[in-house]
Amino acid sequence: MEKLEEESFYKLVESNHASIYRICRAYIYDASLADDLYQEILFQIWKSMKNFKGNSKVSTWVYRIAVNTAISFNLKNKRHQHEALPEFFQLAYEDTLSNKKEEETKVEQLRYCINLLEPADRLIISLVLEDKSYKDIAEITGNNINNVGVKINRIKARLLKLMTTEKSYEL
Amino acid sequence: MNFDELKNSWQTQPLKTDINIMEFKTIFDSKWQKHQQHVLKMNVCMSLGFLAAMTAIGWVYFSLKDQYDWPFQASLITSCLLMIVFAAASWRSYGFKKENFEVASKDFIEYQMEKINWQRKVISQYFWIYMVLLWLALVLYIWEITTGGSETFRYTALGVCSAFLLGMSIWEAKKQGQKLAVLNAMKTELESVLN
Repeated sequence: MEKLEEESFYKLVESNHASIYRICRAYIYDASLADDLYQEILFQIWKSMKNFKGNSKVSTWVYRIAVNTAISFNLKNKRHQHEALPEFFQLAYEDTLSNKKEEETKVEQLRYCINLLEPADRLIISLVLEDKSYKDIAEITGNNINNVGVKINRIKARLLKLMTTEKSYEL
Repeated sequence: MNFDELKNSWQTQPLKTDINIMEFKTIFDSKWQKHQQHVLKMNVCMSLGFLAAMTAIGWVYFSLKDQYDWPFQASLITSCLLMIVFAAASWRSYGFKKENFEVASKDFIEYQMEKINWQRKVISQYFWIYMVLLWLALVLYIWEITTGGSETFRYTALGVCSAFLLGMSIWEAKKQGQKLAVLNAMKTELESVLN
């Protein structure tokens, strides 16, 4: 890779890595698989950098690669998927209650509830959680903005419901 | 609890922050090299395979063309057809390996579905065309080259060859069900993402 490209790639990763990583964690519950997906997304960005013509915003371009790589990754790893228990269930019960901070538990619960959504809904909600506008999400997914709006409202309602019902499950 | 609270918690969650660009570079370089080597290996193997097959067909044709009649030539023509079917399927499958991750997800999914439909066609249709052509080529060839032999020898050779191909077909048909089930599951999932 040329020095200039290397620098651009580094800057791109630096400014987007948190969002990309969160998308991975939203889409795939298993942390080690999410790490693999994260690496695959960075690889696809690295590979595609030469092709970027500036027809869309850099962030849209990055998110498109992230979402498409996640879809492809999910298809390739379909056979290895399993329903994972929430991480706080995998720890010893006492540890779970005493050591986990409230905020961490909340994020973990949120992650678990996202995991209960359909794969397509997981991707959309991960973009909503990154504060992407309806317009941006429509551009990333290639869908009509009105359909995206309807979908997002439905997913939000389902997620909030899951957060309420799954809370009693946790305690 | 409202959605903005959730969003806030989500965005402020602790993350792995140790990005080592040099480490990534090494991983990507090696991954890219492996990919390129794989493509090169595949192309070289395919080209050598074709070259070997063409040489063999050519050699058989020019050495024996005066000794045998039309079934001999027909079997060689069928072999060439077989190779064309195989090459077309291979190149189309190879073309599908080129994935563009920069397009809108809808287009990406539609491309993936096209790829799955192609794989389904290869498994459920083109494989059988290939097998029929292969059987035809071998039957014509055996029929012609056993002209001088006894009837028993001729029919035994045809029987053994047909039984072998039939066995292979039954074996493949058994596996086909599983392969198609995986492809159908993938297609259903993509459709659900699309809707």
